[in-house]
Amino acid sequence: MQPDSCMSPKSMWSAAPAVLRQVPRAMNRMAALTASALLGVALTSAPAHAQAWKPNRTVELVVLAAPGGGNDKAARALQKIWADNKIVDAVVTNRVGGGGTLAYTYVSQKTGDGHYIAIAQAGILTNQLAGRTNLTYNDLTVLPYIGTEPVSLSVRTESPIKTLKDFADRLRKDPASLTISPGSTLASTNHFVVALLARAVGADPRKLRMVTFGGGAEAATNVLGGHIDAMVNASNNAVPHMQSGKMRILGIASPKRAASMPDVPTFREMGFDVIQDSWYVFLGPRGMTQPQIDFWDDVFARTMKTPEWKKFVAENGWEYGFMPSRETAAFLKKEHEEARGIMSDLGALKAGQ
Amino acid sequence: MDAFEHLLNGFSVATQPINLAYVFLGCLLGTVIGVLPGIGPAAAIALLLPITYGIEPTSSLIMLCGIYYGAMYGGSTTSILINTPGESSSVMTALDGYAMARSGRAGAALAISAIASFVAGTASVVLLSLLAVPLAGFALKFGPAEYFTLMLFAMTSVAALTGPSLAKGLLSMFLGLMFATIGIDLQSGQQRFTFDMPELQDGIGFIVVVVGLFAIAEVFSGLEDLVKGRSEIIRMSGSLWLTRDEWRRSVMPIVRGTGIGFFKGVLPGAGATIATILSYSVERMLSRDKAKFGTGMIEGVAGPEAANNASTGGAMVPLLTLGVPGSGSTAVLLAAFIMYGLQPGPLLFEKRPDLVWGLIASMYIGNLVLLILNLPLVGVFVRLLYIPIGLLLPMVVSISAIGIFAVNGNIFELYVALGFGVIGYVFRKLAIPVAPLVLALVLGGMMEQSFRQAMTISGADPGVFVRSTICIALLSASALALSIPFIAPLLRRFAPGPATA
Repeated sequence: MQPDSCMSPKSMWSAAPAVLRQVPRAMNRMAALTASALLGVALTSAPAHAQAWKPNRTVELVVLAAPGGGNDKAARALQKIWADNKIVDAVVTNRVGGGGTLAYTYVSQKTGDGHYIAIAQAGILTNQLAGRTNLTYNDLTVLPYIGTEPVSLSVRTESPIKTLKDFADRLRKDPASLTISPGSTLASTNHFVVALLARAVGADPRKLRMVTFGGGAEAATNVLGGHIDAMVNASNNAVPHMQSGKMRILGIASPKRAASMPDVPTFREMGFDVIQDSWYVFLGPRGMTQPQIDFWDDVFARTMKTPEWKKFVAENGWEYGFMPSRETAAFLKKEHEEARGIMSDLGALKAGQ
Repeated sequence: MDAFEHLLNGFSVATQPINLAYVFLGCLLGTVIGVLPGIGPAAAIALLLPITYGIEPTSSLIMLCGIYYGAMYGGSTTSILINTPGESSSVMTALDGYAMARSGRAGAALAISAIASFVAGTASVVLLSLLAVPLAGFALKFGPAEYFTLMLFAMTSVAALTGPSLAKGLLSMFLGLMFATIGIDLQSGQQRFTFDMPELQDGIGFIVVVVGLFAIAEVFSGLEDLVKGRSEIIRMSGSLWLTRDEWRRSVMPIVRGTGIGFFKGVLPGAGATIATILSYSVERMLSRDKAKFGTGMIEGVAGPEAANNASTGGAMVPLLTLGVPGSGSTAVLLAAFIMYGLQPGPLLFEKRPDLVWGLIASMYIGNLVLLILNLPLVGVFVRLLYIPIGLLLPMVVSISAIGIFAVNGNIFELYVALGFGVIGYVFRKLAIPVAPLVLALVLGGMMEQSFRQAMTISGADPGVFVRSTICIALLSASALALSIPFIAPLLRRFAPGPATA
């Protein structure tokens, strides 16, 4: 128990709302600069060639969710790891709205400035394909990929659907016979999982009866109460209920079994070639220089190796994974093409995208 | 009794000095957060989560829960004094609370809201201790169809808020329903009324509208009075404390508000806010002086204040027993549990009784702390009213702006608040009530979505709305609520005794 460390002035500030943080941010920056000047502490271990870049002020880590929601948790975990290990001096800001469009637009406009990075998920692809925004990942600089959450398909324990095969059979006979929630967004990667499954059994994905709710927790409540048949979303929505014996996870749409639930089979093992993870990547403003990209590649590569990050991954049911910027860009390109194909099948593709 | 024994053990955990310190800290932070508009308990808990990492889980959860229910206490202060609700659940308090302050009874309004909060908060923890386990499954019985009928029932209370002109009340309500449709539609993924602005895709934030309609509009009228030289200084009349009559009138609203708040809290969804709406309309419906509501009726403060505090105890039921969060705040609390590797659910009661019951016991202590913290503050807070209007108005504007901006870091929302300030001012000039707009905005979105969810699930069969007992009960209650204005006079005619009020 460390009541003192909990209430130290600095940690109080990190808990304060964005506006209140402006002052200590300046103070931190000064402290950091002084420290590095006096002690000669290099902030990075990157090779010290002439063009090496490093931040000269506090980095802004932009999150598209509200505090406490979705990827905000990951961002705050990163910020803490960076602070504790003196990797980067960063502050998390939440720019909520437009399914991430506000956050991405904000970052994209900081052309060439390596002090702004945003955490991104598949919405960066699907929002544009659905015509909700014109912004694409090409308007930003792609930075590393930092891991995934397995996407699971779950029913309540009392459900007559015992296996993924039962589920697929129902879809084959009549795709509209089951009510399924993809969480809060249609034409999301969660929705894709069911669409791909329907396609695999020769059913029309457009006929699926999808019901959206405010989020994964609400979908889970409706599955538990028997109001809908199944939900498909990030597995942390289902794992706790599986552990308390109230839900059955039929499968996960990952290439291999997840460490957090080793008994749950993958779709592929059950004979359905459906792979659709819920991945996390980082993006920076357009026009970042190669040294800036190298800096962030190095930061994330080091972060991923810390015990704190491994702990975060284990506690949140993530799957460990890392790709440097170059590979991530190729990965996004491939995901973009796949998403376009599935959304076209679902009739969710905006004409001309 | 089993629960009683567990509770005693819980108290032995909660009364450890370190845990007492955390209860106090949580309640203090909660009060402060409640007073500031915009930044609510959910965001506050989320921001504090990372720094509680090193603390012992029980202590940490005791503090975080303190913030949650503490915020319900603080929310009423600015509603009453400057017509600026701190949280969406204190909008109803502003209606009569601010009117009371205008007529010099700010002290009484603040006092009754602290007392109602204490009584309801404590009663809801008692209900939580006794009913947590038996009520566990209740929240799950509510699917989309049940929610739709519940929203329909809540909508009938719009009648209670229309004021003298039905047409103006309906106008206000329909505008609210229209605003509720702005944003990406959940069921179809289509944009509605967003005018290609990404800022509007997630709809209009409720608190932004409320701050605009209440606080900013208040500033505009204050400014007008100031320019015209009409601004009068509000004089306190009588003591800061409650009169005997005010006591008498507050007792039953507190009891009813507690019941409504607790049971609404148990159901996931916008628990606290809807509980206050229901409580207010019930009080108005039962009152003999319906027309006086909105002009400073203490019942309209006591009931909703009891309801929003009682809902916190209720909301802990599905959270602790099922791991099902009912609101943004409880979702973040759930994240806190999970961060400590604790999965709320029936197993938690068996595995960690010290933690669960320690937490519940701390809520008894927390409510007492809040009362002790808030009652003396009444005397301090009423002094706010002595601030010259020329200083008070800019203060209201800056508190509102900070509150809104701090949540999403979005300048656009400041303009939205300003726009609603103008709407609120125009409404006031035309004597159109704003409450129906607010009510429709809260309920409209959920009502529409749950209707369509239910229709998708049933395959477009409207029979789904009469298929469960809960639906039928709620539909009957709605029908009753709508017919009461016609039936009540008839009943009164036959009622024996002194029917003249």
